[in-house]
Amino acid sequence: MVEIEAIDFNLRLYDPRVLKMKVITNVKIVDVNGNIVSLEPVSEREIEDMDDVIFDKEFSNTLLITFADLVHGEFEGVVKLYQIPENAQYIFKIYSVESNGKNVELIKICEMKKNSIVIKYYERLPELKEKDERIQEICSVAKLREEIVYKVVKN
Amino acid sequence: MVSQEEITEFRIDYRELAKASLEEIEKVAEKVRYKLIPKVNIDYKIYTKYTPELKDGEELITYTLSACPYCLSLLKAVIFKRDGKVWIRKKCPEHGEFEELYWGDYELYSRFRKWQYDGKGIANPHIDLIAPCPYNCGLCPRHKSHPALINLVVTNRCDLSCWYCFFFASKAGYVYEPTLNHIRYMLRQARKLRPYPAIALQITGGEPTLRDDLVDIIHIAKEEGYTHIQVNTTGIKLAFEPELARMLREAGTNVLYMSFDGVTPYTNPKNHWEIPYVLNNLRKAGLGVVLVPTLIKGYNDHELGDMIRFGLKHIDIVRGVNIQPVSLTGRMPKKERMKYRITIPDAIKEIEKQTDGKISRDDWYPVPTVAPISHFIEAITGRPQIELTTHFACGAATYIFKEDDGELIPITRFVNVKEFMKFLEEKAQEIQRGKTKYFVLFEALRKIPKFVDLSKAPKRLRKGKKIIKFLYNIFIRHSYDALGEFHYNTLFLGMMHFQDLFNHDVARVQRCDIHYVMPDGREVPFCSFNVIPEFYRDRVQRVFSYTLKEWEEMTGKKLLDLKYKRNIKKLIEGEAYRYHYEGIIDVSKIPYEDHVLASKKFGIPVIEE
Repeated sequence: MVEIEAIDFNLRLYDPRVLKMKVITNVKIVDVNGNIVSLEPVSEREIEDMDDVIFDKEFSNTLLITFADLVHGEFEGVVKLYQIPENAQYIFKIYSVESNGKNVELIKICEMKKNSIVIKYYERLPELKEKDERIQEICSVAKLREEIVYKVVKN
Repeated sequence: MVSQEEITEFRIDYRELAKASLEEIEKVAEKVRYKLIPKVNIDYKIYTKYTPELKDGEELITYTLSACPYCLSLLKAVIFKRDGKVWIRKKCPEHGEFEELYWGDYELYSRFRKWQYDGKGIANPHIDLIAPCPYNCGLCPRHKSHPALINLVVTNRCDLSCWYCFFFASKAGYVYEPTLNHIRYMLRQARKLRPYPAIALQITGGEPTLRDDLVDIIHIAKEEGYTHIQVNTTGIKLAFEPELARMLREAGTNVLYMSFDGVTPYTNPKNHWEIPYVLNNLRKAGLGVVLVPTLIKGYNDHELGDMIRFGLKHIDIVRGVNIQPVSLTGRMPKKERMKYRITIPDAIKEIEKQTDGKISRDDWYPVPTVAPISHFIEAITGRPQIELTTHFACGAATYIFKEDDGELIPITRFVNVKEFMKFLEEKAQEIQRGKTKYFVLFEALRKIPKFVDLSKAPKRLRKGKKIIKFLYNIFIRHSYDALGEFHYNTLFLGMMHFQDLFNHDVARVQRCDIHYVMPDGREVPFCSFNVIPEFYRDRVQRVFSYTLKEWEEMTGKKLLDLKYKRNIKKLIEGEAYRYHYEGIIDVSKIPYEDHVLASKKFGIPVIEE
């Protein structure tokens, strides 16, 4: 069974800039029949120094937060492990982000291939468009039906 | 796994690549790129488990990541306040503790920090994320700022042999000189970055004017979409070739970026004697220049005021003075480092002292201060704007207006920079939240005059409230046509403190907006390219280079024959020499023997015939 990791964290930065950020990642899959299933982690552990590349792959380009920022600030975080069912076709990572009091949700979509997981779509905080526009783009890039995307994102 | 030997021995036959098409160059570059990335436990180790502790009398500012100055391994570092200054300390399990002055004034550090804005990062990084920062540069997905200035090294040949430089060809043992096709590939590669590709290019070296095809390079840069082009030079060749200045200007060079370490032969043995002739030739060509002093404590910091006065005296052709506090390289003990170390606030305070407060510490702002201007114009126009979002500790700037009677007026004396930037940032955010642009523009129209104190503005900007009109044109009409007039008789003063391995801070690297494009297509922050040359500059350039023998055979030239020999007697006898330094130093008081000694000690031979 394929396993993936997701990260939740709280960060307070004072230098070089002031930032209070909280991120919770939810993982959902769309299976081959078009059903949407929310997954629960099978295990959790605290983030360690060795997680720097994992953390940066997850957040550096999307939230512009890097492991170096964690070192700079007060932070706590967990790495959650998810098992992906064999009938999964798409994995949705939905990041609920609270950044200096502003709430946004970012989406990343991966497609299950035979031997790999391919990133089909991801959103970046500094260039976030309106939700409807984003959903249209997701449908076109990931070749997903609009009602499925709406369900995943809204539910 | 790739071994250290494989990396250090690996090179391609550049004579073959020199004949290659753009597509073939791209293929080779992509193939080589990942091979050259520094490898953990081969090139460096990760020692981040150890967190340095604070000692008595020290106050924590923050922790960061840094590299060991000796083995380049990744370390945690602490940045702290002590005795009113800011320090950085790290400990390598193999090489011990390193403590360094990070910023010479905590008050200025606190004031500057308030201006930190982060950028939008890179939407399409050139390289995947496979190693920790700063070993993954390329740019990688971690990078927080888009490039503001791209550096392109066109040669590592130089006509000087400055004693401290290990970069030039004859010392490096190879000639790095990319072909025009390769240059086009690199420039095109740098322009691919989104959301905001670089439009400003610095052509650098070695000494770029040694390339016979420099004008062709400038044409290529224009074709690839670079709208601002500057050439980084010692100016030596331009002192003797007025035609070269004209050709550079006509090809599209906007400004020269010229080394200028002081006003005397003692402090500036590199090009003290040639500078007057360069300025004369630039005047004839109508090509402006930015003077670039590398500042070393106890060596030339006492001449800061004079360097600025020199710039002001020649304000017709000098566009700015951009001061670079020295980066210390090599294995240097702390005592010696402290002897030479000078930081941005130290230089700012020296300038305040040496200009009798005419340019005070309050006139300086960190580079990201201007980010709200970009945010506002982007919100109004809907088009991505260049954002200067470096780390606040990396650079500072101010702008000086010179009145006809010689009086100096820093821009901060008549524009309330703090409140104006605050206003622009608030309005940009209001538009982002959905407020109608026209309401915001109307409010800006009404409020802009409140940020200007006309009574303190330069006389020419007071007349007909010209300064207000300039601001309207820029912020309301987005018209930059009148900027030329606005800049008349103004001098930009800047500071850029490039890092070294002793004060190295990954937070600064990740925000860097001055990058180098490398022959393997990666784009690397200045302070990785030059601070860890073993992993970036030297490693990659060597791979794409000719051996000295290959180059000499190919060109029929001898590298050592190109070295400059200085005729001091002739230079100091010229009218241009006396005119340019008059009122700044008394040139008649410097004995000829001193001139000769200064030049020779620096490594530039003197001839008399």
